[in-house]
Amino acid sequence: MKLMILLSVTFVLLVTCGGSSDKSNTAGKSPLAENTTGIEVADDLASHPGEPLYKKHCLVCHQADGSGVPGIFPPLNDTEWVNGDNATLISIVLHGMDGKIEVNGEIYNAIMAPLPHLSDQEVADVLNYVRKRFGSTPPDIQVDDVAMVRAQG
Amino acid sequence: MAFPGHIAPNDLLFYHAEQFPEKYREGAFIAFHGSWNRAPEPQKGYNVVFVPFDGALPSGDWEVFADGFSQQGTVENPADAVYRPCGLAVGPDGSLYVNDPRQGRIWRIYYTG
Repeated sequence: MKLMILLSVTFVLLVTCGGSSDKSNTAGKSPLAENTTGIEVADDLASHPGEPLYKKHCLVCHQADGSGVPGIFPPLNDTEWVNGDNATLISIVLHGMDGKIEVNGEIYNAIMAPLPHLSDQEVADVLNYVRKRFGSTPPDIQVDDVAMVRAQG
Repeated sequence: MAFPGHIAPNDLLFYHAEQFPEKYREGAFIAFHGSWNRAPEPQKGYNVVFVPFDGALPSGDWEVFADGFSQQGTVENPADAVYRPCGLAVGPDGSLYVNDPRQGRIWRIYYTG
């Protein structure tokens, strides 16, 4: 007496070979340490001033590994947004964002909450953390850059 | 009756067919698409649960009926889930169908006796 679930051959193949490809490319970069979320973070990032800010303000939507939520919140991993123009990135944090956008070939449509209550230093810290951890362009966002974008309104 | 928060019920179906054993008849199946907003705790859901009914009211606790759609032991990040249940339907023979909108897969669940 049992309930049978029909599984196709392709389904079984996905079980045996899926799931590890996206994680293997971070393993060789630097020493890795377990943090409280169970996600591996390089040692030099665990003590970054942006780390607690990321956990508090970004992680719930963009997730512990920056992979986002399919169809809702875009990933941060090597996207043109994270790697792109500093002022645009700062503006997204300060002023939020909504509407349909395409990131790495996928469509996302949700609301990014504005975080104007973060200080200029905090915005710079968290964005430099995001750049360093998930991006490939230099984490060179200065406190003055944030102040300038904020002043422009 | 309460379910864990954020696990996202996407469909509810009362089983009026006769293929499944007695306990499932007139009970409710619920497709849980799975959570995204439990981080940094592990995500939950990504399954189909069953609630037994006697008349208009549940007659017992809910239980996981079909699981493993995510193909992850624990879903830490929603993007890791390979499949996510969404819709439910019953075929003319009483089989239960579950669909995944991420990749367009459909499962047929049937009773072999």
